[in-house]
Amino acid sequence: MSDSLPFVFEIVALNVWINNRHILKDIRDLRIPRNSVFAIMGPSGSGKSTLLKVLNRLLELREGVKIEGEVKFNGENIFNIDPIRLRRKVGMVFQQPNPFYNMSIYDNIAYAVKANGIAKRKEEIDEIVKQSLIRANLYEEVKDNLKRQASSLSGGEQQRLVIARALALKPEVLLMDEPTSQIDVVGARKIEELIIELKKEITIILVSHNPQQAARVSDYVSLLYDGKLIEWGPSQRVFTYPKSELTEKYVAGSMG
Amino acid sequence: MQKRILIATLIGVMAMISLVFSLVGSLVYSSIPSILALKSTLFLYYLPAIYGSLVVSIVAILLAMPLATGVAIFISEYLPRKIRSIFISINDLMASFPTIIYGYWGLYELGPFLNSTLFKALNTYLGFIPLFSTQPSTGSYLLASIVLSIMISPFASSLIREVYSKIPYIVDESVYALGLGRWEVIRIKLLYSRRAILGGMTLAFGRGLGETVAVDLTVGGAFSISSSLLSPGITIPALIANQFGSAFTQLEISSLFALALLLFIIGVSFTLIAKLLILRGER
Amino acid sequence: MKSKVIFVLTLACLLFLFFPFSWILFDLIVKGLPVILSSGINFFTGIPPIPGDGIGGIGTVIEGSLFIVSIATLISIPISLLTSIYIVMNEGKKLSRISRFLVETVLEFPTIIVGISVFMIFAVGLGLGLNGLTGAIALGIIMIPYSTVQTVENLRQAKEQYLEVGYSLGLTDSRVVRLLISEGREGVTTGILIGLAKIFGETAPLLFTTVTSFNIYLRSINSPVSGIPVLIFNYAFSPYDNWHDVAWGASLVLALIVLLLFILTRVTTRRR
Repeated sequence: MSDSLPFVFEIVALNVWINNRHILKDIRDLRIPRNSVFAIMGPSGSGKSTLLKVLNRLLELREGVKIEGEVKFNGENIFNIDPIRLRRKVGMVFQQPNPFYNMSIYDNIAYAVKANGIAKRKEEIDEIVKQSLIRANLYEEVKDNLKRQASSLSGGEQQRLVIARALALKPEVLLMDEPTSQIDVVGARKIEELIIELKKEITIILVSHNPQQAARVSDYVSLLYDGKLIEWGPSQRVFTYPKSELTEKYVAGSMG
Repeated sequence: MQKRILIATLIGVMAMISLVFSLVGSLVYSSIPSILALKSTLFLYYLPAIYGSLVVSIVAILLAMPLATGVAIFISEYLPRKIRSIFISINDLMASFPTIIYGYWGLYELGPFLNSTLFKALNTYLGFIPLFSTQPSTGSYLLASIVLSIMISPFASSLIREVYSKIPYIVDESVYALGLGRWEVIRIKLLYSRRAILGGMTLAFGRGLGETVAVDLTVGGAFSISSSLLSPGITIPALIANQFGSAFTQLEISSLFALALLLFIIGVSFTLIAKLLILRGER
Repeated sequence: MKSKVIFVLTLACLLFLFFPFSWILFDLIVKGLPVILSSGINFFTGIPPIPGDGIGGIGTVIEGSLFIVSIATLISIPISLLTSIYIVMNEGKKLSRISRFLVETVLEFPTIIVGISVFMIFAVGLGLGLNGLTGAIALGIIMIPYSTVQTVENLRQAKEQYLEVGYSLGLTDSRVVRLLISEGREGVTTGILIGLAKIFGETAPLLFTTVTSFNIYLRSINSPVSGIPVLIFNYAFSPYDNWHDVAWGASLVLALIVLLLFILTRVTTRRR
């Protein structure tokens, strides 16, 4: 894998069917620049989450899924890479914050680290947990008691814990599927700030449920409508001079 | 609710409640004479039955728990949807199958087979351990435990599966997204099902304590205590079943009722504990 | 790889659990069928043989079981149905919750305890004696919680769908209840079938409420008849080979009855 390429992901061509319904229709030439925040926006049902889950090969675990096409990660076809290795480099955060509720804050992160064999000695793991929590802007809030159960955190804190857990594996890319849609406004703001900070080190691909958030946070943005890629490009350009009428309408808020 | 139908249903409820209370009441009432007369010597006398019940049920649970959990996991994780319902049906059929048949088969089929193979081997090679220090006999603690575990596993498995299979798929996805495999997914889901597994174990244990005929046929009917699992013994329900028919004096009958009362108290306690566990596990 | 290990382990558990059951079914057929066939139709109509000689039949206990179970059902259905209706229609109230709790606890009573208590209250206390009727009372008591739990579940679902509709159409309470029952009909039937399957195979409660002689056919409501499981239990403990054979035959018959009830349960649940 070559990580000096300017694009961390490149979707050369992609078609996805779920239970014989054509969900992603001929997505072509979509390139994700490294160390940027790349937003995927569009009305609900347009296939945004599906597209995201192709990138870490999570989609194919479901029944009834058919994927055709070529997607490159750092120049390599993802379907030729071992999916487990891929997922360690491409982490994911979901819509509903889902830390391991019955575990402590510490164990949530430590579990992933231990199970992946990244570190074994307690001092190493302690350090990784601490660094991940710092990177996720959560450390200050929880440092007094890491043994607290994850279920005692607020929604926004839980989501940052999930981000910390994903960051512990030191991924190159973080896929985020509407990470703030189930969280309160204050928590959501904190996560948006975190996203902007994180892009210095990793690439973030963000599915967003509203164009305002995409505009606030992203460097590049794309519009998916009814499974088709309408357009993509630098956010400034797309939001001020959209190439497609659909994009204009969506950004103006007249679509779902 | 309207008056007429309210009265009708209340009659039903009252009938049910009075049945329950008269059952328990007669249990207590009939036990009192012997408890007053003999006090603690009563339970010392029945110690072989109490010991036997505990041994058989505990060993049965030790065998049943991993078995039931494994089956629940396999059915939920690896079977495609269509085949799943067939296996669940077989599982439920096993759970409601007449226990007398389990017992009869256990005595005349499984027993002789195990005695000439596994039990003989245990005694021959591991006979220095007190657990296996006697020769195999027609009925034994271990045989009863094995038959009992076969009987309670399907029930326990359903309870576990009910909770395990309802864990939302997003939990699987979040574990896979961390670059982990199926083994870790199962581990996490088992963690989430902890309460149900414990509750199922407790409930199954309570059932095992109360099982009469299957155990009576396979435990050997020996009114003694032995440290060897291969010797015959007796359990509380089996003892009651064997002796109640020939008990004539008031003291004899009352003593058996007292023993039944003990069984009842233990059984209900376990049921209540199990319900508390399962109830609070609904996250 | 660890994931393969867990697959093999859990598969082994499945096989370990289902194998004995297949063995039992195999034995039932191999050991029970020849017995039934050797006696032919007489196995279902004749009386049990003397110790040591012949097969005869189990007609007396088949009839006995059918009788006892029928009476038990008659006793338990009204109580079970009325209690279920009360529990579901009065869901917030204390009595409803207490009833629910009691029913679920009685479900787990060791059945032998029900047997000896019914013996005390009904056979001795009320002077009913040891016969089919007393046995039916014992089985009826055991059947009530099984049917009730199932019926409550089903009525609850029917209630969610139809309660508001019913009331908004101006129906009275009793009409609404009738609506729920008729819409939840399959659920109520399933509840009864589940209870039936349970008590058909129960032995312990009959041990001290009915008799252990199997030669009498039903003559009146308190004829001393007994049930199939009791026969199996007694013959199992006997030293006579022919009685053991009869027991296998009887076990096969019992298994088939329970299997039939079980299939009926599945069929009625599926028709939603």
